[in-house]
Amino acid sequence: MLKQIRLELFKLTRRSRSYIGFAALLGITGLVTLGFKNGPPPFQEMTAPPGFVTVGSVLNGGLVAWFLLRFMIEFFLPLFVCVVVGDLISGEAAEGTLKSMLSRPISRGRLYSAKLMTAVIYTAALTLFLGLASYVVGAVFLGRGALMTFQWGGLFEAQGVFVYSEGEGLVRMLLAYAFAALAVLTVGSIAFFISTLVTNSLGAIGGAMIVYIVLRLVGVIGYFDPIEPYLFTTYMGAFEGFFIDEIPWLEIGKYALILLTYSAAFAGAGFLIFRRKDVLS
Amino acid sequence: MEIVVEACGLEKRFGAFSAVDRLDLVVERGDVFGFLGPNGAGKSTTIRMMLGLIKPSNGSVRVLGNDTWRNRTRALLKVGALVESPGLYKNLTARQNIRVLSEMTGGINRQEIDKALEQTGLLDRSDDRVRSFSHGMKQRLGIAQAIVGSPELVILDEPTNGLDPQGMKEVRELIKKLSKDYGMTIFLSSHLLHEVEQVCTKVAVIHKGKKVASGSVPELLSGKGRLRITVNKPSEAAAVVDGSGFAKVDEVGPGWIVVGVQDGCASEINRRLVTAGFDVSAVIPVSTSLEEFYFSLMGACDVEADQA
Repeated sequence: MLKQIRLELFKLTRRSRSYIGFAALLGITGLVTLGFKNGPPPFQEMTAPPGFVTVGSVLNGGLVAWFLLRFMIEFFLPLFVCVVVGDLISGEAAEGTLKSMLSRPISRGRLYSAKLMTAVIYTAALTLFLGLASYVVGAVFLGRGALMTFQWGGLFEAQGVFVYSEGEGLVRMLLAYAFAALAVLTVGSIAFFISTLVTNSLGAIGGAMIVYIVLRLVGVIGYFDPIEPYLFTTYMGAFEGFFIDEIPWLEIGKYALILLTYSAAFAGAGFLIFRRKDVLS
Repeated sequence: MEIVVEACGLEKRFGAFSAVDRLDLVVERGDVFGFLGPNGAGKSTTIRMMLGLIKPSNGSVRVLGNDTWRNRTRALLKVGALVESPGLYKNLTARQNIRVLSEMTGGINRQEIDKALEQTGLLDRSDDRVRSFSHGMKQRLGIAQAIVGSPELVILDEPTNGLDPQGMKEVRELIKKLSKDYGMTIFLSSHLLHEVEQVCTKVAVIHKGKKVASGSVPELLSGKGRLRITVNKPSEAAAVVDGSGFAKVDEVGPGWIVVGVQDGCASEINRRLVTAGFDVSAVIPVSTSLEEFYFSLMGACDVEADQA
């Protein structure tokens, strides 16, 4: 099993597709940092509640990492994860390498599990890379220091501006990014599921993103409030809980479990298909 | 002899279409088994069932004693395969391709990978990416990954597809060598008759999903002897031959007839014609090639299908 994961990761590192997300996230990080550094007070307009005045600079690596997490989890992170994860099985089917692999004495369950683990590793790597890149790039160009975040409303009904020392801010950031990886994995697991059905990765990527965006849309329309608790998209923003002074561990744990259940359901459904599917490509 | 591949009542239906229909096959250890049929006859579908890539609608295939759908990992332990167009990683080198695939079988070292590359004439290109390979080179790499580590059974689906005549010849030589020197059992599907005739010890012919003939090559061709008889009054002579009960006239020409006879009956036909007062000046055996046999078989199948 470990050997197969190693082989899958080796193949992943040899595909240019795998690097699109990393390059794009780095580019966006640079763009945001540039804007923060040179713009006429961009931070006040973009991130702080109206009427709130800060004295001294709150611009630093921590702030860039926090800002980008809130922004990127909406669309780009799920997209870049789906681009790779949605290709893991469908791409092999399209290239005809799925039949080459399955002509070898490896059980379909084992191959599927190795692919799934690769998807998890990639999702975690890309999400954590965003955190690392934004923190480091931000720190280099804007400096380091205490982390200031604010919230109003949202999943935890929290309100206010929260300031943490650099060390504490870093720990909270790491936890938030870890949760975000779990949230993005849920979208990725839809792409992975569709990847077992199609021989075109575009179908898997597009399909997963459509499902995700439609669910997000449904989530903001009042009429659909009764079903909102059942949509996984409702809980994707729960990483914000790590920036409240009293971290709501119980709720975050509950939401993490819900997201994990969704991921497991999609992965399980994909397995049932992959286990018995006729490999015709 | 030990049975290496055994298909029993193997069937695959896609909706109403029957791709493979109640197929029985037996391949014994050491055979170079030719699986012959026109395009779309069901050869690749059969091979995919042999490898557990698709689930039979009915019946089963056992490879090296294990059912390939229920127990693929054990069945495929000592099997190498090339299925249709070689599925390769274009962004990996030739060597990396073999390594990535053969590590899934396990126990294959660098020397063995080098040997497979050398046998297929790819050693000097082994560190180039497959992206830059010609069609024929990809085909040879597909063969290399199938034979690496000297598996007991090698399944090759149209291995000479896309190769030039020289490449085709090399592959045929390689197949013979693998069988002779390494004792591998080879299952070779092809629509090229001369290829099968030159390489294979046994043949099964499949048409529209059904097996229409099988046996060793000489077996299939025996009893199909034809004679070209140079005789005066060919039309009258033809009537005598047809009346004999053990021979049949195929063609009547000016001064000759071509007669299909059972084995060992040539002298008897000659005697009858001479006794009946014909001047027989020559009796020449017309050798039947697998090709002629094949086309007569396909013709017969289509006539049957039309009548049904």
